[in-house]
Amino acid sequence: MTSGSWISHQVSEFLARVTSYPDGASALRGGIEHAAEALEAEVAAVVRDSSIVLSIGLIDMMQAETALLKAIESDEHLVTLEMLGRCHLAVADLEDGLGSRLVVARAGDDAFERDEQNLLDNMGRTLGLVLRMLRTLDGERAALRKLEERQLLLERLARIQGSISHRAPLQEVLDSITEGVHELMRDEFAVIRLIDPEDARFLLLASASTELPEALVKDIKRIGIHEGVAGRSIQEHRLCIFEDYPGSAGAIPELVSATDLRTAMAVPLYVDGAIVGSLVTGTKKVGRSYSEAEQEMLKALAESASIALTDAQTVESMREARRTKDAFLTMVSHELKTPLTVMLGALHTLHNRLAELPDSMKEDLLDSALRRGEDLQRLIDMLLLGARADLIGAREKIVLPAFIAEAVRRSEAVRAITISASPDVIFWGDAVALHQILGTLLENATTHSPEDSEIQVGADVTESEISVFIRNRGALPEDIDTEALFAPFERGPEANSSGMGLGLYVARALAGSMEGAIEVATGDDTVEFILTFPAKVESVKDLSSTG
Amino acid sequence: MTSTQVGHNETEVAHSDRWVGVGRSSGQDAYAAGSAAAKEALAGRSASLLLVFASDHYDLEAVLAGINDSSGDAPLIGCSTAGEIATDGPEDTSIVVTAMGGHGFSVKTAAAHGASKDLRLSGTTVAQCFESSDEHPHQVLLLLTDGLAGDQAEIMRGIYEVTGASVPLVGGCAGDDLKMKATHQFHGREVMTDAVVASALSSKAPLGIGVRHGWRAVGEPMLVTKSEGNHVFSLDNRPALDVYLERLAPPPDVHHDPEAFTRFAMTHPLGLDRRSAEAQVRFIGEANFEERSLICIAEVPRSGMVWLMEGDAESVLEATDAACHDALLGIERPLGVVAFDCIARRGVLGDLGIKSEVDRIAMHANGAPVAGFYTYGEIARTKGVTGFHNQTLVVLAIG
Repeated sequence: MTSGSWISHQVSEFLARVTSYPDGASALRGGIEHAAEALEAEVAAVVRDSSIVLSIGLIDMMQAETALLKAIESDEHLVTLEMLGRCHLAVADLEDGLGSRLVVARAGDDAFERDEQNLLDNMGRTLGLVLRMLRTLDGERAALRKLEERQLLLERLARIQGSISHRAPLQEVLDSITEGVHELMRDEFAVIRLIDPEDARFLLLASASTELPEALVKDIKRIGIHEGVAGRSIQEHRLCIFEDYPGSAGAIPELVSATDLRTAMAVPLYVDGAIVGSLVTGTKKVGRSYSEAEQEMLKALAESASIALTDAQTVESMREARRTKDAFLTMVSHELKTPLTVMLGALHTLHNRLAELPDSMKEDLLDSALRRGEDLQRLIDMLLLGARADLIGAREKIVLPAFIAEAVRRSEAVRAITISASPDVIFWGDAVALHQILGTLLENATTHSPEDSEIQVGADVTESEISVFIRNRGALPEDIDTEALFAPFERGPEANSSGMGLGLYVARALAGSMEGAIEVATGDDTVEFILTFPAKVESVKDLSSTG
Repeated sequence: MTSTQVGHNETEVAHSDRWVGVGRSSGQDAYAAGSAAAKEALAGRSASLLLVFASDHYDLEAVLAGINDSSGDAPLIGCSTAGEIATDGPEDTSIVVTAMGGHGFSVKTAAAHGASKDLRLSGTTVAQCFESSDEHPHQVLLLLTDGLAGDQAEIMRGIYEVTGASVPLVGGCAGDDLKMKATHQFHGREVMTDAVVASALSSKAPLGIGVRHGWRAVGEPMLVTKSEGNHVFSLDNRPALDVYLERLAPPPDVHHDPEAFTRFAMTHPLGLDRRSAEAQVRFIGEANFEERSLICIAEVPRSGMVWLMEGDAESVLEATDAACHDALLGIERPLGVVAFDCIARRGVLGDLGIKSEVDRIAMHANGAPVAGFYTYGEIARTKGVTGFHNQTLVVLAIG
């Protein structure tokens, strides 16, 4: 039994109900439920593009769905449905802008009256209007959510940047970044891995969000450079995602068993353009996928981490430079003051007691002052050479055999020095610098070898390069870092001279100024320093033939 | 279909290999009373299903222990009541056990706890016990719910999501002798509150359902101007309680005494404007005297039209006859009849009237045992998607 007022009240009820839902999906479901209830129908459905997108009353009824669709397409008002038998159909346009239709089916002989069809038409219009409105609202909510997420990201980045600017300890900054990832990505886990500075084949866990179990943190503290999604992102120099973490090549088994990790994403971290680690987020939620916005978010946080790491390295370098400078000044002032004190002491004594001192003592004092003055001069020369090696560069024609012989002569060593090989060639080079280098290497060989042992000097030549070696008997300690031999004020363990540890430092700087190098090699009870530098070599014979 | 009555008195009937038995006890000791009612219903047979309706003045766990110890833990669902019905009439402090068994029945039971947290989910949960491919052609889903847990229509919608139109629903909301504090549902040996229990019952013979209320609309309709679910805040843009009291002019204590209000509202429900000739009735369970609102057992939609309803003994008993007639259509001689009768109808009929009503049901049962209880809401879905009723009699005839 229906009437005009019944229809209008039913539409009012329907409108009140469908507008009470928070989103389109629940409004659509509530809408078809209410349509079925109002019309005492057993089945209600939404049909779009020849398929049923939502229904009630059709449970595992393939036949019923097919029969219903067929009847709608052929504009039939009667259909036989499995379990329900003969049913009357009513169809209305669901004006949702998607071309959907609202369908109800009622079992038995009770056909839909004209007013009921009107009611269904009104319900279709009302529901369509509400769905369009909710779609707009959903879009606005999504935009608002995006804005809120962006705001959160900006706030987090500002906090991180602030802690970097205020020189917060690096660990604190890194922890703040992993917590930021944890908060913004809404994943359970976030970690930063850094390449082990002592062994680049491994990655260390530098920071982990608080939800990572402590025992697990211990287990995965150090992993292989290719392991996990972090290893993959480092290997491939890009953002990487393991959508099925347990099934991905390189997955860390301990992580899978302890956390049930399902999906993870990692992005590399850089310092001065070089990869130093990776920022990782991961979840145990099944079916997690990372949107483009989330990928950009992780990259932005990784950028902050890179800035923090670069900044920390810069600060550390500055601190190291300051420490080195302080040590240098301490050493220099000591080394300058010592001879100066001796010189002044000798000269004061001579000045104050010139008349009463015996001649032999006066001579000794003068000798001492002179030697210390020469020491001082040599020290100053060496410092200037080391500091201004790039200014040295006066080039002249050098005959290699004669040059080596002169260097040996200048060394005034009290040791047998054998020139084992010296090709008869001529080259253009900086004779002053080369004499300084060879002099230092010969003195070093003399200082670090047994008194009665022989020192060998020789040279090898190619068209574009000359190598001069100085070989002495002896050995370096097994654990010595040969690079440290060239650091300023470093002295070998067996050194028996009064040198200041600047010789090799200056020699290398000079070699560098010639685009050359000095290397150390050890053999069977021998130590060899090899000076190699580029040079355009011509044989003496060629020169004489061409005049 | 051939049928043979066997057993003793009118407490049991069997058709070839299927049987239904009903037992009642009003004994003081809960365990002993449960045991006695079960033994009477079982008469030494093994049951496929026990339906238990018990007054909550008993220790309900002891009642179930007595029943289960007697039945060998046969599948059981049940609930507390606002009065129990058996062939010999209605009572207020008894235990009624209905047992059914034999090879022509198959049964599965289910329970959902914490229904009020998600009524729809509780519906989908218990509906899982239903299997449409069951071996027997006739099926119903028997439901016993907590009417105080919220909008019962949501439970029906949850069930419909799982079963669709493939199975009729029948049952009622548990009672607590009109205290309106807490009702109980039974599943096996477990006594629950805020729960839904269900039994998918299938039979090789027909299972008939009848549903009628006998109320009629009086006065002018009212527009529901504000409501949320089963909570009605305003009618015709005025506080709902004020409008209700003004229209009916009840005795003074109804204006402020919750118990007096509930007793009065029992016989003065709301009716919803629906397509069917018989309006859908809403039992007003309580009033909120501060908010001036009405709280019903099921949803009263906003913007809908409602009427005040009234009934008398004659109309209510006519509805009893009609419900029994509908349930027994196509069933020549039933095995048993189960009645889910709204407590409000009892208010209209009075103590003598309800005895007369049960006698009428027994007469329609034609010698088959009768069981049932007074409810806070009734469930019967035989067509359409809605299946929750108030102030109504629902009759299940087991053919």
